[in-house]
Amino acid sequence: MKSKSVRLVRRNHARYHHGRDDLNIVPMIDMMVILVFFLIFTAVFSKTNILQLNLPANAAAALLPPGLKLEVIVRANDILINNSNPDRGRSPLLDDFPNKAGKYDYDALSTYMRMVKAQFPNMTDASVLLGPDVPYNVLVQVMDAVRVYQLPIAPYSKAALFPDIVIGDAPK
Amino acid sequence: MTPYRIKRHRSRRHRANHFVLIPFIDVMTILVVFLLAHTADVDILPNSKGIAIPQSISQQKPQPSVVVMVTRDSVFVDGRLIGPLAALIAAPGPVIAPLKAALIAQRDQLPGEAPRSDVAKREVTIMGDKTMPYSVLKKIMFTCGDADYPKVSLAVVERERAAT
Repeated sequence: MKSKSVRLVRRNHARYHHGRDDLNIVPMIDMMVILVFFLIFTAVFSKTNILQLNLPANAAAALLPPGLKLEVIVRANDILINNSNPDRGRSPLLDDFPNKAGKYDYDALSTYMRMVKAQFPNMTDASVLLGPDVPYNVLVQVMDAVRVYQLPIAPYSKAALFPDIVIGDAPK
Repeated sequence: MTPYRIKRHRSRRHRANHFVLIPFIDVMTILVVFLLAHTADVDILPNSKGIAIPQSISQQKPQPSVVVMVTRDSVFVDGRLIGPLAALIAAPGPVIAPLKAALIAQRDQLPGEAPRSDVAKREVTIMGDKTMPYSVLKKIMFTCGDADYPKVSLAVVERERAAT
């Protein structure tokens, strides 16, 4: 049995240190919550990328490979594919993809582009020619279909088709 | 009347236990770090909340450049309003004069030394609304070329895979 004075000292010691040994983390949690909300509200969850264009002003016509100059003509109701190699004159139309249910047929265009790429593996340029009222979104989708082919299933790997795209006006 | 001894005993049991908060703090910390890392790769292009820009599978990252933003009804150059779209497009001629003036004025604000002196390195990024017709885009691109910006890029939103 300890003496009464020892117990008193112990008790006073315990009272003095009561609550002094635990960290006061409440202000930190407050700051964290504010920071999390601030960051969530300012975060942008969509990545913005760019599509580089070649303006047709450059006189690169002399470097054309023989055989094919691919033209993709986007009109109000269909997508035409044309070969306009100046050596051969304007050859007849290669293919025509009419709109399906009011939408441009990007799948058919993509399939056709892959077929062309298989026949001309070294070619990288194509022209996309647009009618005046074609929306900007269609231009980007057509450029995507002409530029790269992406697997529609799991690995989603990409293959470059004709990345050097020139934009111009559709012939009347 | 509860005896003092029992009261004291009960009050001892009711100390705040901060240790139940530790998982909560862990989750918070991870969230803060994730969000900080996410916002660290700062977008060079301004926020595109006001307009719907098209989706694309392009992987090319934007470079610092002059940004021409075309919303449904107005045109901005680096955040400054140039004017209502309809009035700018209705003006005759292939070049949009106020836009050209703004682009020329913006040349001195370009980052880095090279684009100011070398014409071929100047770059414009066009952020356009999905519905913008090609005739409008053509005028804007022509104006960019006319204001001695030979490189034109189109801003798009990244999409993980092609639309089916």
